[in-house]
Amino acid sequence: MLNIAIPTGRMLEVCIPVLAQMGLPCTKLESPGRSLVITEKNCRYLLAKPMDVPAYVHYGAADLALAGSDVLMERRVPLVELADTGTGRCRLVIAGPDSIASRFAGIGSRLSGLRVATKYPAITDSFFNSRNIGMKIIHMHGSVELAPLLGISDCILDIVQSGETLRVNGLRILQEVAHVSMRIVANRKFTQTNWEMISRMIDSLQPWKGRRYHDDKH
Amino acid sequence: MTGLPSGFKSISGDCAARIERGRQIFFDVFGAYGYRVLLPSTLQLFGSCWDRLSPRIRSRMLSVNAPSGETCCLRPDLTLAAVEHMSSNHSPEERPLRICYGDRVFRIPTQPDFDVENFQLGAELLGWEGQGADVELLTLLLHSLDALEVKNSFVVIGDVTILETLLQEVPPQTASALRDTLGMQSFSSYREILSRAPISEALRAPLRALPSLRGGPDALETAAGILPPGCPLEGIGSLLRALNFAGYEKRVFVDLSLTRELDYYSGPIFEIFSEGQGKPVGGGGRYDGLLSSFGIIGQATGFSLNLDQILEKAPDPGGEKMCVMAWSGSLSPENAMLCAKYFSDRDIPLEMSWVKQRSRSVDLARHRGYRWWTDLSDDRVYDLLDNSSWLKSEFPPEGVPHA
Repeated sequence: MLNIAIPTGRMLEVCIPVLAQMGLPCTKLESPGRSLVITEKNCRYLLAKPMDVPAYVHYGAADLALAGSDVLMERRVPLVELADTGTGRCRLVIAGPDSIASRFAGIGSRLSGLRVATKYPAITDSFFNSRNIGMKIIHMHGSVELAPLLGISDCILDIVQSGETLRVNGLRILQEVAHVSMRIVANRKFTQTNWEMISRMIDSLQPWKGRRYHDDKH
Repeated sequence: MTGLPSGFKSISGDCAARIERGRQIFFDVFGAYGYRVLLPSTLQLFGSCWDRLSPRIRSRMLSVNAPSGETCCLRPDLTLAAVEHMSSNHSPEERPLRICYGDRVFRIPTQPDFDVENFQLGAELLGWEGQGADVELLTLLLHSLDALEVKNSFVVIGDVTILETLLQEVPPQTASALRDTLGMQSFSSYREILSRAPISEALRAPLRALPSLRGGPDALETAAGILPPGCPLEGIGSLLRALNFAGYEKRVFVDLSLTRELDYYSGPIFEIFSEGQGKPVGGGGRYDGLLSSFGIIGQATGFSLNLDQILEKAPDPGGEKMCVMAWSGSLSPENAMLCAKYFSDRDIPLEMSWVKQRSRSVDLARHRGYRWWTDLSDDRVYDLLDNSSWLKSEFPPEGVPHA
């Protein structure tokens, strides 16, 4: 039985075509209902909160998983990253109102003391620390765009796809942090004993393999 | 309020008994082959560790000040502590040195773990100039995994010199990036960096194939056809042959792209896996370079096992051996201790009960899960399961487990 952790929510829809490309059965995943464990032929899918997916693989409950690179960056769990599927593409950005845009245009010291609302405290800490910018992280679990609107933060660090949510809430992109896409990950033990199976599945993704968001022109 | 900082732990009860039992089994296996137990200091000089550990481990070191004012750290790695001790406390004539240990290491945890302290078992063989050290250590490692009843354990062997040989002709910046991505096991990034690297196709092809060169012994044959001549495959080959000869062919695999988080390795390396664990439960390898940094010329090889991880999935040893609750009753304490000696002389573990009332002592025995109870002032042992009793001289009855 192959145990595969996949993220719930809107990322589930992104996962299904990838799993199908890998030759895995995924009919039942199209209507999972409230089940968190779905068994189909020789696969057991574990439906987990996106941020929890790496832990399931790390502890060996799942052999393989699909996870966003934003989640992998944030959680920093040591896993084997097998391939970039090229799907689920978006960007991690710092966004804020026009009023603070000038601070980002200038030298780093003007950013000192910045208050950043985010669902990604580890990435935020690493990004600003690597630039020697002292700031305050405001850890939130959703709707981070509200924070600058209500004066809780100066800006946000979040994922953005079309940018529409930012526009509606009076925010704009101030700086790009990273490109995000869906990755296939596995635990180290599984890769040591099932490499042939893994190779077959990854090779079936050939059209996407190695293709990165930043290779494309937008 | 626990009195302990977050991430630290005091261990008691069954868990402590299991750890102690694990340590003892491990020491027995290695002790039988001349390995001596080392009890290293909990504190090490910060600078000494900093110079010899990889950036990834350095960032996880816990610094403290010694009373002398020296900056120290809580021991982040037992191999380092062992080599440091051996280099300064043993003369060259005493080599090779064989040591084993079972102790705590302290590292700032990475997600999703929270434990700062972890128990490690390990063994080191230092200063051996001939062949056989790697085989000896790996064979005893597999013995110890069996003795510890680690289910479905296996070892994956690699060699850090293979990657280094392939990277010799690669520009330093690219080589460093490839080394890092392989270390992080990020194969998609590795492939991407490789695809853009300013190197010839003759150099790119073996590097591209490297992560796929893994599996059983046939992976080495495949590698011989792909990797350029001069790639040091013989080290792994001879190890595989020796372990196959010892009957471990189904428990030994090869991964030519294997790297270790500790970057002081300089030859064959290995990782250990077991049932129910996605991550390695241990690892080790050759670290001749580390040894020479302490002024010792020669070979060194060692490994460590994460005892906490192993015990998570280990079978229950069947509870503590202590099996009889012995009530002092009307006896004076000194007489009660004298009567209790009857049991300890026969290797029957017991716990003394000093309460006044007999019924309270029986209740306490039941509450604590004891099957057997005795009044030290008479000659019978009572079975609390069915209220039957046995003469002390006939106790324990045949076929009845102690616990």
